[in-house]
Amino acid sequence: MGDPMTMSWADLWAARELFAAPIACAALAGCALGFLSVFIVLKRMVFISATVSQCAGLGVAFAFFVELFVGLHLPPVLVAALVAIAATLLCAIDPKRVGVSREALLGFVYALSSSLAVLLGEKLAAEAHDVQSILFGTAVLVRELDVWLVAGVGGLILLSGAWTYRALTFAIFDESASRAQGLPVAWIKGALLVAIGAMIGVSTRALGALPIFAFSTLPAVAALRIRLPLKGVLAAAIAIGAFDGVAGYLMAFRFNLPVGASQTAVACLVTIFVLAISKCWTFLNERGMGRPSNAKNTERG
Amino acid sequence: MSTESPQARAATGVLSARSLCVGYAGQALLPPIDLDLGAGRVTAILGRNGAGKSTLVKTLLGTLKPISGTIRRLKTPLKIALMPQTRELDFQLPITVREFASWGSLSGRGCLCRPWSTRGEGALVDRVLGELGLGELGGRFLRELSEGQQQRVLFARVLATQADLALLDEPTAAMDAVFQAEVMARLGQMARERSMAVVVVTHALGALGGAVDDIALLDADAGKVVVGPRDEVLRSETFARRFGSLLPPPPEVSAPHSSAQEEARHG
Repeated sequence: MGDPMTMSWADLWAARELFAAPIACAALAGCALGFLSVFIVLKRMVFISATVSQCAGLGVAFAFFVELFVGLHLPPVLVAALVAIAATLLCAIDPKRVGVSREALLGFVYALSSSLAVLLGEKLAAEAHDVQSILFGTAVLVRELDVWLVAGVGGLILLSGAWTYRALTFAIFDESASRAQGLPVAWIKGALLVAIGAMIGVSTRALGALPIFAFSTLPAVAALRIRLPLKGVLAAAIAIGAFDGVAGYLMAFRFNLPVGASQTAVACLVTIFVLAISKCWTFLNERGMGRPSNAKNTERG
Repeated sequence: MSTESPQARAATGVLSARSLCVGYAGQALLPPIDLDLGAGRVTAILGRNGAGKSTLVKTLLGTLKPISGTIRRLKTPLKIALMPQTRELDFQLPITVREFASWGSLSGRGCLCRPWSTRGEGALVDRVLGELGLGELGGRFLRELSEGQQQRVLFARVLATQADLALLDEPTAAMDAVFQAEVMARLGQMARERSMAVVVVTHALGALGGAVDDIALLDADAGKVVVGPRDEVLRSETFARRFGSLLPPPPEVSAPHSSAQEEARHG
C-alpha cells in the first residue's frame, strides 16, 4: 500500500470524473470489438485485424504530419478510420488478383504501415509521444469526442449486428449456400469489413493499436472455448471484451502501468483462464466426473 | 432432356442452358452442354473426380461465369437452394442443428430485416428435422454429429428452403446404404410434391436409384457429355466405357429415345 508507484482505489474514486471517459471508452470499444472478434477469429482474419490496427495508427500519425508540415487540419480519428477501412478492404481482396498469397499481402501491408508510422513519428518531435500512445496504447485520458465516436460506431455495429443476425451469420459462415438463396453476400461481407475497419479506426485514436488488436481477437478465442451456441458466444465475447477494457484500465491505474499493455495483458490472462477452465471441464467430463459430454454420446456413423 | 413434349417442358421448365461451356480462365473443361431442368424432376450430374461436376453447378448457380452459351431462368423469381459438401462446413462454428437448418428459411434481400424466424418457419424446420430422424438432435452442435448426420442436417436445410431449384453436391457421400436410399427416395418425393427441380451431383452409382429421372454424364477425359433420360444414359457407350460393369444392367427401355440426346462434341 505504501508503494509510491501504486495508487489506491480511493484515488481513482476521487478522480472518477477524469477517468470515467476512458473507462467508458474502453468498455464500449471492448463490447463492439468483442462482437466483431467472433467473425475475425472464425473467418481466420486475425492477421487482417493486426494489420488494420497498425494502419489506423499510421492514419493518426499521418494526420499529425499533414497538420504540422502542410498546415492542413485533418481530424486524426477520421483519417484513422478511413485508412483502416481502406486497409481492411485491401487485405480482403482476392490475393490471386495481385498474384501473391494473402499472408504475403498482409505481411507487406503490416510492415509498410508500421515502418511509416514510426518514420512519421520521428518527424513529429512534439507529437512523438502521441504517436507512441497511438501505437501502444499509453494514453491515460480520452477526449470526450472519441468516447462519443466509439459509442456511436460501436452501438451502430452492435444494433445492426443484432438486427441482421440471421442473415449476417448465414452469409458469412456459409457463403455458397446463402448466395444460392439470393442473399446479398458481397454487400454483407463488405459491410462487415467496413465495420471492422471503422471500429478499429475510431478506437485506435482513443486506446492505441495494441489493445485494439487484442480486443479484436482474444474475446472470441476465450468465448469459443465456452460451450455455447453462436448467439451465446457473441454475447460472451461482448462481455469479455468490455471486461478486458475496464479491468485493464483499472490495473494500469492501480499499479501505475501503461494502459494499452495492461488491457492487452488482462485480455491474455482472461483467455488463459477460460482455456484452463475449459480444459479442466473436458478432463472431468472424460472421466465421468462432470456433466456427461454430448460429444461422447454422439452416434458416429 | 426430359421425355415430355417441348410445350410441356416449357410450361414446367425451371432453368434452361444452351450450348453452355464451363471452365476456368477461358479454358473449357467440357464440350458445350444443353440442359433443361424441369419442375418435379430429379437430374443427376454424374462423373468421376475432376470431371467438372462442381464447375457446372457453380455455373448454373451463377457464381461462375460461363465461357460461352446461355442460361435462362424460366421462373422469376427463382428460389434456389444449395446443399454443399460437408467438407465445406466450418467445424469451429458453434452452431446448433436447429439454427443451421433454420437458415433454409432465409432468402433474398428481405431477410436482412428479419431478426427472428416466424412461428411457421420454426414449425417447418422442426417438421423436416423430425422427418429425417434429427428431431432429438436439434439442440446439439453440428460439429458433434457424424458426417452422415451432418449430411442429413444439410438436406434438412434444403427441405426448409421451399426452393424451386435444389442443387445437391454429393448429398449421400457419407451416408450408409439405408439413408442413401431414403434420401434419394425423399428427393424424388420432394421434387414431385413441391414441383421442384432437383439436381444431384454425384460420382456414386448407388445414388442413381429410381428417384433419378435424367442424367448428365460428364466425361472430361474423353471430351464427351451425355444428357438424357436415366435409362438411356445408363445404356450409352460413354457410360459403359467409364463405369463398365459397376452397375447392374438397367431395365429395358420401352421406347427408343432420339439418338440426338447423345452428344459427342470432342475427339
